[in-house]
Amino acid sequence: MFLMRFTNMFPLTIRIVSLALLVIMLLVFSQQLLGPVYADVSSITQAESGDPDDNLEYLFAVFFLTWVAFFGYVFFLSRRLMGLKSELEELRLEIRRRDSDQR
Amino acid sequence: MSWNTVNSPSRLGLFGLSAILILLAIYLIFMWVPTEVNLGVSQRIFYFHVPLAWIGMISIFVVGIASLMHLMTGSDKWDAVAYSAAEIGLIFATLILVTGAIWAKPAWGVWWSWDPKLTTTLILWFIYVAYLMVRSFGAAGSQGRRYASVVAFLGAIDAPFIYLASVWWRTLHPELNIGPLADSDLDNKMLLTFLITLLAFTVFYVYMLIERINMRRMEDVLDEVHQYVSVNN
Repeated sequence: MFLMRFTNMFPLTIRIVSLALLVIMLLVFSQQLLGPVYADVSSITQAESGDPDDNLEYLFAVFFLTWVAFFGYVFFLSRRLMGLKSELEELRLEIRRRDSDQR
Repeated sequence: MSWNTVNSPSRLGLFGLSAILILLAIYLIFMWVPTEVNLGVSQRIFYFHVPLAWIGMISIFVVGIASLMHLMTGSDKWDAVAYSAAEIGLIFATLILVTGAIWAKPAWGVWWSWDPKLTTTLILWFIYVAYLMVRSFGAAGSQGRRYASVVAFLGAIDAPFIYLASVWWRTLHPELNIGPLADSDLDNKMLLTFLITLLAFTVFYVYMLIERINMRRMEDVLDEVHQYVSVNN
């Protein structure tokens, strides 16, 4: 019920970015609870001393999320465009109905 | 030039150009550019993250200037530019934070740090959300647009703080790589890849902005027609 009201209230863009913020906040708070918030020397040394190729998944995660976001936005635009076209069609029918009523 | 005069062939050309540049950028990032010694492959996130950040900052300036022009001229075209730039800017600002967090983990060992650059970028994200919230749920008509313009000006003030955060404060971020104060010692291949990626994202941003402005103008016209039809009902 709450979810239905939430989805009806907010446009798709706001919903997507709210979800992204929620994920970021979860990451931030989990970091607060489980580990250091500030990067300290030991964590940096640890990150650099590992095999650089081990970090390939981070690169693909960035690549994947960037394109998911752009395609998601284009999908939102195409949905909105379809909505505009149907509104236009409704108006055309309304005007035609009025013309026939006047005659 | 009116934005409505940006016709379909030109828009298609812009789309084609951005597609070619993006494919070229992907090839350069994954196949051509050398791997950085200390950070390894995760350094290649730089070629996504920095152009996204640059456009996220530029976009709030577009929102601010277009809002100012709307207040001065009263033209709905400028309002359409401001709204469209804010919507696309929010996508870019979200991506700055997400890609930054993903890069921070292998580079710094943490997902997030209250570093001045990160904090001011998070503020920018909230400003974009605030602008769109005011536009969606604020006062109707010109009053709501005026309120939103104030939010946009705050965002435009925040952008230089983000850019200069690594100059003004002690920060985990390296020296500036882009803009008037850039002092980068990037390898030539890295610099070329970065510049082509920046150009690709910029052209893609302009294309999306033009498409969104046209759609926004269409929405405005439809609203006017709806009002006309309901008044004459």
